[in-house]
Amino acid sequence: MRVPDTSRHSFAAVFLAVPAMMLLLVFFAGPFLFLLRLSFCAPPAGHGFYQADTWTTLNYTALFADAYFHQVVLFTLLLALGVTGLVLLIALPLSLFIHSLPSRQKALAVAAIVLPKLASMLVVVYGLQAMLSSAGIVNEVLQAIGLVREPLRLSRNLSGAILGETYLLLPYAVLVLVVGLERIDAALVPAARGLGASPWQAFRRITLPLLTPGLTIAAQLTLAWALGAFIGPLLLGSPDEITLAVEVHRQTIENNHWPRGAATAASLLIGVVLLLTTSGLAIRWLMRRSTP
Amino acid sequence: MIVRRLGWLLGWLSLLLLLAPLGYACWLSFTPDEFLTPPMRAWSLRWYSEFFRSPRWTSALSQSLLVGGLAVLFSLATGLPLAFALARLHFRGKLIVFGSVLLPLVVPPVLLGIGLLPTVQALGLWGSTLSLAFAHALFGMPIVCWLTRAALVGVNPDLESAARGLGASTGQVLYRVTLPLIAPSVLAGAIMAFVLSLNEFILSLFLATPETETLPRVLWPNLRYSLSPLVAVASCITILVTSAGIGIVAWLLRARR
Repeated sequence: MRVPDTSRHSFAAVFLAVPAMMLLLVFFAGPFLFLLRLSFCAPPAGHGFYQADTWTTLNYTALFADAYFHQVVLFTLLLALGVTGLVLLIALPLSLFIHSLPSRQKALAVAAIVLPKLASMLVVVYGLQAMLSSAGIVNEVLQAIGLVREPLRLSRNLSGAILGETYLLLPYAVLVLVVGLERIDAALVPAARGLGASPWQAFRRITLPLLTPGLTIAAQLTLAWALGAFIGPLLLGSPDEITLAVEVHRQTIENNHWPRGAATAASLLIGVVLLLTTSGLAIRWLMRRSTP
Repeated sequence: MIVRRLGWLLGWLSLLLLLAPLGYACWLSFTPDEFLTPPMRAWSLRWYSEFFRSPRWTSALSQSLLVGGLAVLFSLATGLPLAFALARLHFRGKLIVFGSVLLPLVVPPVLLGIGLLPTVQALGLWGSTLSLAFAHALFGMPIVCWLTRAALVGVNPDLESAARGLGASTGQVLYRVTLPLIAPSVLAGAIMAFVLSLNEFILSLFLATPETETLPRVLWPNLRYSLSPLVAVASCITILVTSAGIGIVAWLLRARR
């Protein structure tokens, strides 16, 4: 057994890591720094996206004074919290179900979860749009069984936005929870049951506490993505109820006001980071309190 | 017992519901009508022939394939060396490096997109196929790196030292022993990178110009303003490619065990 020579390894490691780090630096870190810089630029005069070499906080002051912006922030927060709650509520039983399946069926179930995640979100939303339209299958079925007379308006409103985002974010949460369940020692629950615990007690006292890290990751990931909700609200939601990400798109691509869009995006980014750290700390605090 | 049966039924039902929009889009693509009515008795390939006759859709499809191929190349070129460093070498900051590699997969892509466009413009890459491929490699690289690292960690070190003991050089050990052992995982990573690029939309929305439009980018205006069955055809094609990719990846990773 060779003793690892850390100094020589460091040199080789740098050499091997350079391509990946260059990619991340130029196309990942760079854009975020550029985004922040852009939010302090003056708006374009005539042509171009922005005026380079200008410094102003006007984009932010204008943004925070705008009542419409407040409305967008509020809607983004409410939608994100609602969707995150709904996703977790569905993902927890669904992942427990998948975990309980024999291995061949489990592989099939995981594939069923992965496919909509990997398929373009546009395709998922397109299918949803078609299903929910007034001539779509949902309304056909509702009318056929006599539940409603007139076709219901299911998309282009709040229910469409919530449903769309839930569809798009559910796979992440389920995958994270299934991985979390796989990591729990499979002998623990049968042991608890053998010692006289009811199925509910075994779940409540064994599975749930051990699943808490997985649940935390699932909740935070879903929240981060829900705060950046874009496709669902834009294509399935009402044009009057838009999220921050839709607003960013509107200001940049549609109105060509890049500095203002960048300021909105930067606010969203900071909001996501803040919410994730505070919720992470809060969960840790609650866990410490609940386990004496 | 009844409760368990009911749970089982409910579980599979919700998985089916999750797949329903994809299945519905595929079903719609065989409609003979102008509108989005699913075909009941009469099925037709009318919209498929229209799709492959339209230069806009076919050029978008070939552009998607090109971008995907380049993204795979970049993902491999960056992800493979890093995987070797993470699996085989000891250095400081290893966890930070590994974590930062996974970061692109967690950040909301809209935020990345709005920063990427001016960055790409400043680099003089705006409107190029390369810019899309580099952007898509941000998602492919972590997957390639992650799968390859796991495979490298799983390689039995005795095999490599045996080869070395029998007189193989470092390069020979790499090409004759290590690479063949990790090949299935590398291939799985490459396929995943391709599938992710093929279906990526938000970065393409910001970066693509009319000359470099990928398939999802052409789908987009159609989704907002008209729900032509051509969209269903494009959806069905990407779903088929994606499912085939997932199937191959599952098979490759199973064979390794």
